[in-house]
Amino acid sequence: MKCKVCKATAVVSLPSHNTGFCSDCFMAFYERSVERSIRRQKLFTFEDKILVALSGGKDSLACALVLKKLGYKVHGLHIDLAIPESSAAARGVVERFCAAHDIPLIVKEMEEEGLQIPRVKKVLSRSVCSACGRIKRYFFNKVAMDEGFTALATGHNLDDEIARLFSNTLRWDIPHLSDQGPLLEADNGFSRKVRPLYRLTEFENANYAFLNGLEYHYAPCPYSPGATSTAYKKLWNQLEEEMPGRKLAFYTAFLAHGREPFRQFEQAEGTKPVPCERCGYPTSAGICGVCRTRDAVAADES
Amino acid sequence: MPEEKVVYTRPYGVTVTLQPQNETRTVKARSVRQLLNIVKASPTTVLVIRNNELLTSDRKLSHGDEIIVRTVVSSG
Repeated sequence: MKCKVCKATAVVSLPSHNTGFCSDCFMAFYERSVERSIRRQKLFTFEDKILVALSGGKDSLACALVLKKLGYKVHGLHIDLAIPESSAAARGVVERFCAAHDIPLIVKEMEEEGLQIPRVKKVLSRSVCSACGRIKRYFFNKVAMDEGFTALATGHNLDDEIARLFSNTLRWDIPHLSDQGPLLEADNGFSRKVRPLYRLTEFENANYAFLNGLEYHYAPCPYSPGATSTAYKKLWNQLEEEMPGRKLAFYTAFLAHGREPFRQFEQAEGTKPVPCERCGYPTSAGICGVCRTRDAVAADES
Repeated sequence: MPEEKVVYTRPYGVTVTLQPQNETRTVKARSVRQLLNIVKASPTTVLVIRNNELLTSDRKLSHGDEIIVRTVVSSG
């Protein structure tokens, strides 16, 4: 296969675009795609102070790198989950990445917060994945708000977005269908959240990370087997193989036509979050889920 | 009497390492597409790497090649 642009040997084939690229032309394609997403969705400007959540995986590192290359003001945030089998390796990757690319890094340690994920797992009767996600979102938001960042960026890719949209659609989950998208404006104690890689697949991010020589953490989380999002991604990858381009079409059509009716319905019928009685984080009522989890871990230890 | 010519016939093989499982095996694949069929991977869910270079599905493989097939789908 030849590169569509320069006719050199292609190193990346993209059936969804019916094309292939050499290394340099793929990187140019990728960076243009991110630029276009930022501009079309009005995600942020060069004046914004952007906090990028860095897990150490290909997506978050690719996100920070491309924003830095495009000239945005980028800081990194890593949440050390204190999982013995994987957290030290992930943190090491993030620290080396930030040092190599001159990106200031904030590390938030869950051990100091009394929220080590193995202990959280011990006190839960169900899968730890949703609690872990809630804890991470809590600290992403808290650090962004406390440190005065004007946008919180995550490396969510098209596959993540499709898996979430599919899950929300299967349940007709109106609150979540009403606010899914690459931009969530700051509101009610929440920081402005942006997903600049929403049009790019995991495959494209992995290629970009590899071609930029990024060392990234690719071992799966030891607690993740059985996660529903993995099953949805598998299903969508089968569909995409049969019908290239279907993922992007489904998602962009939802943004264009599907989200607004859900947003209007939720605005009229939904409940507004209120500050947690203990920490002030937005919650549906009373004490937020993270404070309740912290209490459960502390009670289990005593 | 002329010396008998010895011909060594090695069985054709490509060494493939699957990541993140880190399982290595030898397979008889002449192209990336054949290799992906053998390891049951779709071309847009894995990186195929030879000597630190990415390969598309149409590329040919040779005896002795050492290939990494790295899954790109993150779990959880």
